[in-house]
Amino acid sequence: MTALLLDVRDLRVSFPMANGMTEAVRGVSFSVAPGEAIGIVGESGSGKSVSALAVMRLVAQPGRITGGEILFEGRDLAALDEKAMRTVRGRHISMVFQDPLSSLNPAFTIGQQLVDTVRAHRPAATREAARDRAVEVLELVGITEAGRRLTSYPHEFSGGMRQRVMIALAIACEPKLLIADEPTTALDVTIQAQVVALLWQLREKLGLSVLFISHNLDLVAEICDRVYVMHTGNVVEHGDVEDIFLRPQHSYTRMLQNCIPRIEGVEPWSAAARSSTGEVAP
Amino acid sequence: MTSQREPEILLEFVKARKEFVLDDGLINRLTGKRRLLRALDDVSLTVRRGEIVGLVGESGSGKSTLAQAAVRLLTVDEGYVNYRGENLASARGGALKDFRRSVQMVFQDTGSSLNPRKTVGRALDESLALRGLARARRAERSNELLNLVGLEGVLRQRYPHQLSGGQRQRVAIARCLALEPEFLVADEPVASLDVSLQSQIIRLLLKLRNELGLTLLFISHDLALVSHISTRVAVMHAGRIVEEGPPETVLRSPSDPYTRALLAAIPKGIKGRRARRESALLSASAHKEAAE
Amino acid sequence: MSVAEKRPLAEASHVMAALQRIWQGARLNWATTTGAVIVLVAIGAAIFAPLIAPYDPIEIAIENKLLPPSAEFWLGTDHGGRDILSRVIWGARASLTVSLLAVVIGVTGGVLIGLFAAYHSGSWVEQIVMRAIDAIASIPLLIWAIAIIGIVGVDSVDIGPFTFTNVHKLLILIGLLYMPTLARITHAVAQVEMTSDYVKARRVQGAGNLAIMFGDVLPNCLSPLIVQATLLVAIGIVVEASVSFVGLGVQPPTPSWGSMLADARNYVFSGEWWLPVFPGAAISLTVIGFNLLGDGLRDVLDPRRSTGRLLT
Repeated sequence: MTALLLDVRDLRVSFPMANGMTEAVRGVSFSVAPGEAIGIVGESGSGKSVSALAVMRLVAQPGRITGGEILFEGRDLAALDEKAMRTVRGRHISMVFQDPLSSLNPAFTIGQQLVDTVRAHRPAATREAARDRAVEVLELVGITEAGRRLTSYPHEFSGGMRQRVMIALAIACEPKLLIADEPTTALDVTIQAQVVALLWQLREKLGLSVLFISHNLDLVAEICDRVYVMHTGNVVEHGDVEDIFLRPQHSYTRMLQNCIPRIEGVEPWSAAARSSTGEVAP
Repeated sequence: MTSQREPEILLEFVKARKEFVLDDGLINRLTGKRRLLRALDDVSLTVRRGEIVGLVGESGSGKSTLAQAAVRLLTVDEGYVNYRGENLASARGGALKDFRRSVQMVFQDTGSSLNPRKTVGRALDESLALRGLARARRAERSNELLNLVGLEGVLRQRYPHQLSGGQRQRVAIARCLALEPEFLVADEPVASLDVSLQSQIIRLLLKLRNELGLTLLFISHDLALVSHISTRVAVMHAGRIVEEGPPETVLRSPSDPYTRALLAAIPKGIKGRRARRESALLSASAHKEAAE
Repeated sequence: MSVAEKRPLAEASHVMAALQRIWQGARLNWATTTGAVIVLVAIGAAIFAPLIAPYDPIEIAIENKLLPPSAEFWLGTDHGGRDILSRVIWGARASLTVSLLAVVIGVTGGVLIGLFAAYHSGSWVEQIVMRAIDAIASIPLLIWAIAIIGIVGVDSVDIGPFTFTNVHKLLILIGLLYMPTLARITHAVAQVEMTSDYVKARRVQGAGNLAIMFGDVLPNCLSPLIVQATLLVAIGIVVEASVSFVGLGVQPPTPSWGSMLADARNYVFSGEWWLPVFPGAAISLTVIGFNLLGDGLRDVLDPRRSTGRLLT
């Protein structure tokens, strides 16, 4: 049994509000083994994004981690100071966010941002070596003519391409774990499928572990091995993806399942039938 | 099939065209560097009374432009948009007033479709005033409208920021109903809501449609959602309607490649995972064979 | 459950709720409270001057001239034997009348111009209006004031049944010169608000353009306008003082902080420190007060603040 790559135990994150501290994450535990793709599913306010940010120690001030352990390869990230954490971020654990437009710095070319990232974690690398690596990762994420595109600015790319660039930035330093927080939510469904396929490919090629966060159960089920379902700061159910998807135990998971309109359920029906029931088919 | 006449055509787009100017400005105008974006490209669409027409399109397809043209927030450059036979672009005075009463719109972003500085009660009162309701009766009618959408009358004192996203959308719907319309254009009405709320709002819309006899033009990027609730589905891409028909037909036997791409891209949950696994195994064994 | 249900304030009427919110905000923010207190004191002095000033500010009494601060004359006397304290109190009238009324004029005109320009957004009308505004705003306020009063003269002007004293001329002039700033703010915010969904919703409902501009767009422009207006009051005080200092503002013997400073010019180095210090302090303190209040209002009215809420 290989050791877990990421083992989060009883994580608690709180935010000070006008009327006291509010716990956004209330004792959440999840784990990622090497090579696994784990999904965290929940709606807004479930605490899924905050949990992911907590792993990266990027919870927005004045929020704080108020309890639990975040064991990455045995080391508790929650106990690290900021300097040590910076060696982990980008190098061992990387993150991709929802909105690629605001996640990439619009004032710099993507080449500059890639090179900066590479050299931040490998200060000994020469400019040429960093540049070569930048081209390498751009090609890895499927951007053609990568060499030429190094001098392009983020706004010159479409949404889907920008997300690919973000993924390239994230894998540039060969992290072991990639956290993707709603990476496709802002994208069209056709582009979404491409990005998901890309993540799947990268898993295979690079042996990357992925922590995929989304509100879309169908999407998570497509690429993840195990799924955690979160609701108001707690994990209400977790297990193998097939179990969660086909045999949900918790009422919330069942509700999530039922609410998704799926193509398979559409039956030929006359207008009369539709107007009498007015129901959304399960 | 009975031999009754087809229901009356309410909304009709006839070869509608709308272009937007990008890079506008004095210098660009002079040097001819302005670009034109054709948001609606010869669009023809008919919505008859009682129908629920679902329009599916991704970003940039022109669906929002179509929605705005349908409620006359903008007029088309070429072609016609008619409501009950009247050309919207040339409607004036009384005809325009009738149109404004008959057709209402539900917007996507609940945060911005309600004026943040007006209480729910005030927003409803203003709409009822536009309906011509006497001042004395407005409070009572506001309560009725709120109840109709599943909210309590006490919410009239609230500001939009004090409501949840789902509540705001219900208020927006109530505001539409204040005008007692016969036609509702819903432009991505649930896109900004959680999935559990989505089904609630959809159910509400369908309930209201049945109880009040409304006709719906439902616009969304979600093909599956639209297929479930529509009597007819139209797929829009790059300013054109590329596919149209009953939902089953569009889903099972799409004729347009874009529709097929759309269908292929929809996440398929466990089935998608199994398919992916299978194709991965197949290509792995193909590689092995090639290597041998 | 929504936050509002936990707060009993939600049940109160709009005005009461808004006042209470401001009060709560003030208690948390000492700077704003200080500003508000200073402003209230200044306004109080201006309004109640006849009641609270210990001496007549105008009557000359040479026997008392140039007396340092004492129990009898708290802030000393000037070269005419007049009590400085009383003159400072009465001086508040001139300063605040000019600055407050000028802001009222500026806001009224500026808002109308800004809304007008925003309504015609994208057309040449808007361009002409905004560029004219820019042209006026390109010359500093003080230079405009001095130039125009210098040309028109400081005597009272009779137009029909109305008599415009120099103070009236000054406040009208300053008010006109405030319009560009306020028009710009209104125009900028209105332009953005007009693209919002709730404006579109009102259009779809059939609301008229005027109703939309004044009922929907304008209230959403109020926050930055109120803040700017408060800051402009502070500027107005300085402008009035400056113009009076050079003799083009409030005419003697009416007390004004600026003219008191002008009178004190001759005594700066001869040891009668109380002549310039107290009027100068009055100007500084009042300006600081309005600035603090303006900053505080900005924080309270900022819709992005998590606990701060909008006024109705």
